[in-house]
Order: sequence, then structure tokens, then C-alpha cells
Amino acid sequence: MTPTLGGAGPVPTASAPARSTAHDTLPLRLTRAFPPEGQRHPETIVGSGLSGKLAGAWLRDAALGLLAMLAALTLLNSLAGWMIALRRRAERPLQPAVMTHANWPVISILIPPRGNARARIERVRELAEADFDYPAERIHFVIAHPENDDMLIHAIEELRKQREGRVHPLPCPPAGEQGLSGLVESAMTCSAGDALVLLDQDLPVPADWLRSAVSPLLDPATAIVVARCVGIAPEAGAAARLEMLSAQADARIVTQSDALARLLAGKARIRALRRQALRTTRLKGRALSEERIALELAGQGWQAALLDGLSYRKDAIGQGLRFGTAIRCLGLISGFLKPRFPAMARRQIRAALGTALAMLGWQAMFLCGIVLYFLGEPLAAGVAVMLCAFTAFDSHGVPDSALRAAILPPEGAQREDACLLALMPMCYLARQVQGLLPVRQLTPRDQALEPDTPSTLPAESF
Amino acid sequence: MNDLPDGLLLIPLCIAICGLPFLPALLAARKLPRSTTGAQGTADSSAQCESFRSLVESRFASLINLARTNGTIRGTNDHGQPYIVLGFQSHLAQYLAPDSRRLRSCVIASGHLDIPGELVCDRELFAEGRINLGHHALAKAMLSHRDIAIGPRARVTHWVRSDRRLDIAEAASIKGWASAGIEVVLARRARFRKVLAPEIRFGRQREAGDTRNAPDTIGSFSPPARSGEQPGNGHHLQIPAQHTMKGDLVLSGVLTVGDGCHLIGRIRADKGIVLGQDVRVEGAIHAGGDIRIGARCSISGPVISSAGIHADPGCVFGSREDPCTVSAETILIGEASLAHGTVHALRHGEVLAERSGA
Repeated sequence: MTPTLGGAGPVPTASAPARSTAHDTLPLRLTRAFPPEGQRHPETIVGSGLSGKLAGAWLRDAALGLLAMLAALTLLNSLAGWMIALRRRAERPLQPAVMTHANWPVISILIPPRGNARARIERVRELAEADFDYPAERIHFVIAHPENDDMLIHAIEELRKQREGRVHPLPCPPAGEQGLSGLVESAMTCSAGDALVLLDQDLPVPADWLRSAVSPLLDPATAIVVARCVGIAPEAGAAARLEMLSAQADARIVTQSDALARLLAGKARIRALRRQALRTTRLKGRALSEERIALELAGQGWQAALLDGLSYRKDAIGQGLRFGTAIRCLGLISGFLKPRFPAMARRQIRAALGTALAMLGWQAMFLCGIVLYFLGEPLAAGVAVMLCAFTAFDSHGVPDSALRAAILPPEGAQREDACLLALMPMCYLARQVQGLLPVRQLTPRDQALEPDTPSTLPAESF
Repeated sequence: MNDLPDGLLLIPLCIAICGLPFLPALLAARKLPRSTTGAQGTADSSAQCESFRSLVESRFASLINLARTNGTIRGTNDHGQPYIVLGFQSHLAQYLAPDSRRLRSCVIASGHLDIPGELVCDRELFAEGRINLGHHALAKAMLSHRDIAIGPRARVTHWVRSDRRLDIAEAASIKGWASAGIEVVLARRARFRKVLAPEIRFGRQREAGDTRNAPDTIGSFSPPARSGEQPGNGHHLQIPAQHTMKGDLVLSGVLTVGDGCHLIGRIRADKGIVLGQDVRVEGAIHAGGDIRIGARCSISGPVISSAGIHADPGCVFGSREDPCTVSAETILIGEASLAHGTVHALRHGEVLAERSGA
């Protein structure tokens, strides 16, 4: 039987003995061209399936085109990040100097009621005895306390006697009903001074951060100062160090120029808010998150300053840019076009827009990958997923180019960590595995209810 | 025929995407020289000074007492580094080889310490009395409980701390951190990076009768109204001479202030600030560009610039009660100027040699 391929015509129906020898010696007409669409499956081009097929083909072409465009934009973004990294490394901009001498304004530190009663009292005493790098007579404390917490109220009264007129108790609902952001507005009314410093309950208090936090507020165009948690290299293995490095890689390149983009990336725990700027926001009566405050202030032309390296907090490292915040960032484009705004504020708006667009592009690329997989394009889908994997560094899918991690401080102590940056993309796979681990730990219901299963705890434990 | 080129295009694309994240490691792993010019460097310098002070108090206190009675002691520490503990009446020149141009020992003096000219000192110097650094000498770091005098064209590469007065002679250079408990005096053409003291005097000061009062203002000036509470008072702004302005001012361009103005409030201009003569500013000044300060201006708050600060003779920064910070990449200050607090030139600071025209 003579093998024939597409395009060779119908198979001869003559029997083998009837074929001539010359016909058997004809060369095979091999071609990779497919027959026309109508000749391959003539029955599919008629009937109701025509529109569905055409729509599928159009969707596949559109997804492929979108993926190609997003891939090109991703590469351009990476190239831009690479060029920025090179430029900054070449120029090596100096860190903004912390003022050693200034006419320091009066500030208020808001202490929210977190933790149990004993932890609250310890926190108040710790802050009262802290030796800040700031004039002690210019620090006021606003201590929020639940109305039914007598021990904390007693501790506040003792502190109030020690610091005459510089401790302001703030009654608030019982713990858990009002967060830190909800306390801001009421704290604004009972605080004193030009700035309100928000301090989380569970963070250690370094003694040398207050002056650097207030210094940028002396600039009349700066409205908010954000300090982020930067992890200290844990003693655990390389995986934990890699996770920490990937989370704070962007923190290394933070300057005052692009503070807002980094601010939106989260990890903000201390915020010094200029009271006048916050009063002008249209957010009164709502819950104030750091993203909303920053976006509102940036939209009005204020600028933010970002501090680095407060302390270590593991669960704060993975906070990322949320989808709703990214959509809200797109509304800043009107402020970007206003020449009246200070240059730093416009630069921050531009950074926020770029970050939001990058995140939306990342999600669109991931969606393209899913669509192409179900449309029968596994290779393109794999490319899309791989692009997503190599442009997302944290567990929230925040796209931050790996090339941006090229900038590291030149201190010798971190030189060893810098060598590990090349392995940072592997963190994505590690996180996927880490996400599957809880599934493995789940106990099937039937097995858990078996009466013969021996208890690992002694009876007196119950 | 169409599938093969697509596949070939995807392969280099995948390779490029996989390889791009590894490229930063090449740059990040590159060893960079440590710079002592930035804030980190100066912070290290102050920490090094304090650690050296504690080292002297803990390790050399008994040796200093011994050297007072028995004379100079020479030895090496646990790491094999040599040191010299000078007696009360001893001179360092006695213990140097003839024609010696380099001193590799740490010197601890129980009295005064005179460093000969053109000598290169590789280690720290400490004296309980006065330190005199000779002309064209080079020292790494110096610490004294009393005064320190740095000779003409001498250099200090890391830090210098005097608990009383620090005199920096003409054309001398302090490449790191300089601090004094009472006063720092910099002669003309002296170069500096970061200087901290309650009083910092630049160049030759005014004579007793050479004072001029600032002219009185003749009116008040209102900047362009901002929309609501938004920052921003426009692009460029010029304040006419001898006017008073109250309130914060935020500009995206250049601010030009006429002679004899009185500004009460904080100022921010993205492109630069030009102050005329005899201007008084009660508040902080921030600029993204250069700040040009006319003669005999008085600024009570911090002066921060991303570029440079050029101050004409006779300017005053801060006060003894409220010291301030002057910080910029480049700081050029005329003679007869006075600063209280910190003057920090991130790249280059120099006292200009021109004399005040007053």
C-alpha cells in the first residue's frame, strides 16, 4: 500500500496486481501543507458551530497578540529597570542625610491598644522609659485604651504624673472593634504638635528612628513619612534568607524619589502624618489604610518620604499591592498632568501609575496563559506562566522586575547576601510548594473520627 | 511551514527570560569600594570615634598613668600593631627615625602632641592635651580632650574630634567627620565634609565695627493663592525687595527673593532658590536645585539642597539656642559666615577666599 499524505489526492482504489511497476516507482509527494479548511472537515463548516469556531479562533489570535504585546512590554520594563539600576549604581546617589540639628517640632505618638492587658502595660512602660533621639519635652503620647481596662488606665495615670501634660489618654471601644486606622481621626483631635506618629503595638522600638522619621516633615511639601519593616537575616536556612531578600529587594533601592510606589508595596508600620495634610483629605469618617492615605495625599500634590530598616516582622514582609489599589492608582493620572504640583509629587504619581499598570499587565498575562491553555496552545501558555513566574517575586503576585534588585548597598556585610540574588526567582517555586504543604497536613474526616486512633496526648491534658 | 519559525522564536525568548533575572547578580556581586562621603560614612566615623575613645579609656588608661611618671612606652597590641604612649614632656619627633615620612604606630599622648610637618600617620592619634598637626601632614584620625590645630595644607582622612576647639588652617582638608565641643574655625580655602559644633566660623570674621543692621521691610507680600489646601504656589516666584511674607511656600520652579526681605515659614522650591542680600528666613529651606544665598543673610532653620549651596560672606545659619543643619552636595561658604549645628557637604565643601564687601 502506497502511503500518501495530505495534498496527494485520493488513494487509488485499484488492486495491487493491477498496478503497474512504473506507478510503484513514482516518488512520494510529501508536503507539510495542510489542505484548505473546507477540504479537511467539510462537515464542520456548516451548521451552528461556525460562529463558535470563528470566535475561538479570534479569541486565540487576540490572546496570542496580547501575550506578545505584554511579553514585549515586560522585557522593555525589565530593560528599563536594568538601565535604571546601572544609572543609579553609576551615580551612586547618597542617602538623604538625617538632620542632626533642627528646630524639632512637637509630635504625638499614638499607641493603639493591641495584645492582652499585660502586653499593653508593658508597652506603655517601655515607651515611657525609651531614650529616643528626640527632645523628650517635645514628645507627647496619645495612649488609646479600652474603657474597661482598669489596669491600663492606672498605668496611664502613673505615666501622666511623670510627664506633666504630655500624656493624652484616648478612650476607645474594646479591643478588636477598632483598628489602628480607625483611631487616627479621634487621635488627631486630642493630640498635640505638628505630626502624629502611628506606632504598631508589636514592633520593637528602635531608639534612633524618631529623628529620621520627622526630618522629612520639615520639608513643607512632604505630608507623610512611611517606615517599613526590613527583616534581619534570620538564622534559619538559605530558603528563609532568600524569601526575606526577595521581599525587601525593592526596599534597597528606595529613595525619596519613588517613595509612593514602594509605599504601595506595603510593609509600612510607622507613619508620621502631617496633621494639616490629613485634615484636608476627603477620607473623614472612613477607615484609613496607608494606601488610601498615600493616594489621597498624592492626588492632592503632597509627597511622601520613605524610611527604611525599622525592624523585622515576618508576616509584614509579604504584603503586596492589591488589585483595588491598583485600579485606584489609575485615577491619579489627572494629578500627573497638573504642572502646578511639585515635581516630587508628580514623580510619585508617575511611580504609582507605573506600578499599578505593571500589576494589571501581570494579571492580564496570567489570564492570557490560562485562556491559551484551554484553546489548545500549551506552548504559549507555558511561556505566559513562565513570564509571570519570573516577574513576580512575592506571594501576592506583585510584579517587580528582578533587575531592580541589582542595587544593593555596598556594605561588606551584605555582600554575601547579594550573591544569593541570582536564586531569587526560585522563591516562586518554593512558595508554590509552601502553599501545597497545608493541604498535605489536612486529616481526612473519616480517619480523624476513627475510634481506634490513639491519642498522642495524655488524659490529664484534657 | 509556519510552526517552525514560531518555535524558533520562542526558544531565544525563553532563554532570555530565564537568564534576565540572573544578570543582576553579576552587578550586585561586584565589589564596590567603600565610600565615606555619604551619611553612612559619617555615621561610621562618629561611631569609630566613640569606640576609639572607649578603647583609650579601657586599654590605655594605666599605660598613660605609667608614661606620666616613667616616660614614653612603646609596644604592640594583641594583633601585633605597634603603639607609642608618650610621656608628659616627650615629643614625638624624638622617637622618629631621621628623614622618616611615615608613622605606622598608634600614638597616645599624656600631654600635648606635636605632629611634624609632612608626616603621614597611618593610625589614630590621641592626646589628653593639645594636638598640633604640622603643615602638609596627613593623619587618619585624631581625638583630643583639648584643642586641635590642623596646619596649612594638612589633611585628615577619616575623623577628628576635639572636646574644645578645632582650628583648621588655610587650605587644610578634612575628608571625613569633624566635631568640636565648643567651636570649629575654618580658614579660607579650607575643605570639609561634615562639621559639627555649637559654633562653626568660616574664614576671617568681621571686625568689631564692621556690622550692618538689616533694612526694615516696607510691606507684606502674599504668594499666589493655592487651590484649597493643596501644596503648590505656582512655578516661578519673585518676591520684591524689603517685603515680609508669612506662611509656607511650595514652588515647582525657582524662587527669587529680593534684598532685605523677611520670610517667616518653610520654603520649598524644586528648581532652586536665590536669596538677595540681608534676607532673614525664619524656617526651613528645601530646594531641588542650587541655593544661592546673598551676603549677610540670616537663616534660622535647616537649609537642604539636592545640588549645591553658595553662600556669600557674612551669612548666619541657625543660632546657639536653635542649631540647624546645612546639607548639600556642594557647599561653598564665604568668609565671615557663622553656622550653629551641622554643615554637611556630601561631596565637596570649601571656604571661599573672597573678603566680605561690607
